[in-house]
Amino acid sequence: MKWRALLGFIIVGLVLAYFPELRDMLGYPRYVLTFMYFAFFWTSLATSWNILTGYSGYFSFGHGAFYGVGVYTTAAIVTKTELPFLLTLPLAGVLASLLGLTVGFVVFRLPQLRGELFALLTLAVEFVVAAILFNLVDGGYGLSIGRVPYPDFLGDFSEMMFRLGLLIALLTVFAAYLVHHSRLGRGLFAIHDDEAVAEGLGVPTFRYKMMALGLSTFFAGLAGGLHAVQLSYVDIGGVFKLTVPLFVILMSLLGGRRHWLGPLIGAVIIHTFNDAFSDTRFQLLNDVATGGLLIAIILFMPEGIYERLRQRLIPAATLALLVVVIQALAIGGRITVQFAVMLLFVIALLMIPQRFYDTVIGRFVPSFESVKAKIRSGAEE
Amino acid sequence: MLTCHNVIKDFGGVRALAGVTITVHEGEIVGLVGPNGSGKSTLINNITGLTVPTAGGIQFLGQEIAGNPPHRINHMGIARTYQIPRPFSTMTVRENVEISALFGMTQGISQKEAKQQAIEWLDFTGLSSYANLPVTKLNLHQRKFLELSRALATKPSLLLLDEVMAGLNPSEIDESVKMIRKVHSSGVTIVIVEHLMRVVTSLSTRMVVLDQGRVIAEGLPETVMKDPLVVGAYLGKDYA
Repeated sequence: MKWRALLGFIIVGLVLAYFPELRDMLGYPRYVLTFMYFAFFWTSLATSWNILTGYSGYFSFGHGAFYGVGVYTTAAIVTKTELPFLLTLPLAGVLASLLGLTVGFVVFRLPQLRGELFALLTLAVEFVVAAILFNLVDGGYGLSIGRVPYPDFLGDFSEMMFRLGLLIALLTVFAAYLVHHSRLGRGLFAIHDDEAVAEGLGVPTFRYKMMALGLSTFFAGLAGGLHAVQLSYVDIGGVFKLTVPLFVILMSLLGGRRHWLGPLIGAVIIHTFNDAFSDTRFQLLNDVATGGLLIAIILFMPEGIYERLRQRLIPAATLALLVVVIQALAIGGRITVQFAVMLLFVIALLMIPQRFYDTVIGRFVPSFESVKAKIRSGAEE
Repeated sequence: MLTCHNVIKDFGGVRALAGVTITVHEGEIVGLVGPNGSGKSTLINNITGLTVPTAGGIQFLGQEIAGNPPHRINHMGIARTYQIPRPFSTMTVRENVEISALFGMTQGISQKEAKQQAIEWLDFTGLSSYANLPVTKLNLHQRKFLELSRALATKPSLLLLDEVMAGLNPSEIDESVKMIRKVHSSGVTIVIVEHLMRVVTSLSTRMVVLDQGRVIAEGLPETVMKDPLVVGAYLGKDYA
């Protein structure tokens, strides 16, 4: 099962890594690469947050701290030494992870620091880290990174960012997949439900929480390190904005926290909407729509999009295809906006309340599960 | 097998256990009784590591266990059930038991084996037809049996049962008694905390009575229940 999954991830990676080469053939504009880099970036951040919070239930508001350590590690090394930028990435991950483990070592030993207190404490970590980096590295002027040297086979700048972002996102999602299906994941789910009971039944809760936090912060740092180069100029105010911790929470909540694919789905959706409506004329509308969407999701799909999508995969895919074809043939416009419109239609379909869906659509369209079961039983005969 | 030596537990200014000394031998069913607030659950929490004794020692199979984290104590062979069932609420019935099979005494087994063992334990407690249901669908009686399945799936040599029968109807109680005898005959030593005297006296091979954090009587069920101290503790001194 795990080998098959690894193969799947490698194939997806290779196909996507080849995507920039196909630009002439497919004829998509260059900004699509940057658009996709940002989708990869948010996927890495949201998925890494979810390894700790989604699985174990320890609600972290401080993911930005670990992302920020990653950003500043790369930024500081690249501007102050001759070390190649690619080497700084693993270092960014390791430093973020060390910070995470240090915090965890203290916090996870104190059973009273659960729930709201843990959330507040992680938020405090973000402010403390920002203050330290401000005095130690930044000095109030920010760091200007500019162009960094990298191996030629990665292509031009946006192709290189696309490929490295893809690699980090795949590594993060694969890690989340492995954790989900391993003893570690099972233990974390048990901690999520009732930590004392889990501990009493033999789950080494302290070690497991440390492992989850270590992994979660490592990938946050890794994604941050790469993002430093995309930002090209970093300053404390920008890097440690509360946007990062809030967005990763929003994305995971939207996509579904119980499954490794949830944060990826949430990240793609939120990033697409943000990008499609990023025009300053729409800024207010965009903010209102994002807030409204969050409320609607919590009300109508508390378990997140992933669960609903799994149940309604066939009608959702059909609808998506239909909307894409109609737009491509009849309407045109920016490809990312088309994508956003398609997502809006799919989300609308997913939001139809279950009872209503069962009586109207569910009656005619079989669920993906039942089709799969039919194919399987057919293969056995 | 298990020795508690002069165990003291304070909560702030309240002394919940005032020096409890108890020995449990292999193969026994020890009935631990006493009025509300006498310290029965506190003692169980101390033995399983959920709380650490203020003073005193607890030895299990010759090793000091007080102060060890609960998961290590569980790995040494002690499991418990909770008075109010605490299932993992987002999992199915089977997944609940799988967790203990995966992490209990037999650590290192594969997830496939854990699944198999979980199904066997659910068969044992008669819950196998509910295996794939979410735990929220179970009633109190079934939840209590799920607690038992979960504890058993960690493969303990000493099982601490904290009021498994409270709130059950007479036929469910009879079923539970049969189940506990079955567990005992498979070689598990049992400490049972229970308020239903009829049940404890018939099940236990020895009884220990706690009152206000102290052991006030100890011995065979029939003799202990006639002890004036015990009668006094339950009914007031006038009846003793």
